[in-house]
Amino acid sequence: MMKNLFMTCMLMLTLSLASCGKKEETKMCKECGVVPADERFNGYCEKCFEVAKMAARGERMGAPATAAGQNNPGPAKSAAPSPSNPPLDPSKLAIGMEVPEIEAEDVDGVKFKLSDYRGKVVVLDFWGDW
Amino acid sequence: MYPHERSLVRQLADKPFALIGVNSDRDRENLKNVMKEKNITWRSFWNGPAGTRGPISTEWGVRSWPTIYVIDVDGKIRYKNVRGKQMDEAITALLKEAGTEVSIKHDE
Repeated sequence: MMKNLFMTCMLMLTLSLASCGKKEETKMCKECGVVPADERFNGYCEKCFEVAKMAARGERMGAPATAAGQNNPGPAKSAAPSPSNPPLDPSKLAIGMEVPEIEAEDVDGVKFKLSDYRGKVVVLDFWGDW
Repeated sequence: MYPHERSLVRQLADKPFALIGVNSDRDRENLKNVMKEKNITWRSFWNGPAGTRGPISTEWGVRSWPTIYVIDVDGKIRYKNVRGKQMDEAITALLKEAGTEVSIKHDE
């Protein structure tokens, strides 16, 4: 996600440099620091503004934001919010493999883990009432 | 599905066995009512408001429902998508490996 964002930012930067060549006068996005900020987005670039908005709504849990005006894209990656764990490699779900952990809330909102049931034969059923 | 699962949960209540769901209904409050009405007695993770596009099914690459994994006492995946009699046989075999003899019979 952040990698894509970074690539997009770099692409936009390249394009903006190529088109106007006035980088030194442009105020950069206070989040990623590599894309010109947009007044409409409160000092962020559009992408970062969307990400920050979602984080503020608690939709995604990410690492703390990096310092404003950060020009090194490296640390910015640590701010990558992630909506869920990345998809597992299907080989991790093959017969004979140790089952991946699941940690989430039950229907009543109580957090629990699949590994709480280690020592039992477990039928794990992805279901829905539809 | 539900009667078979309910029967398993009831028969194996005192055995080292658990049926754990990952539910992908979007509306959690409605789901609580459904579980009460349909006497769904086993515990489920909730996949979140995005339903079938929620984080757990996405991570696991689940594209059809139900998708079933049977896991042994050591936490290894041993069977997938077994239903009905096949599921009973899988559970019976894994419990036997763990030193517990069971004979599953359904009357619902």
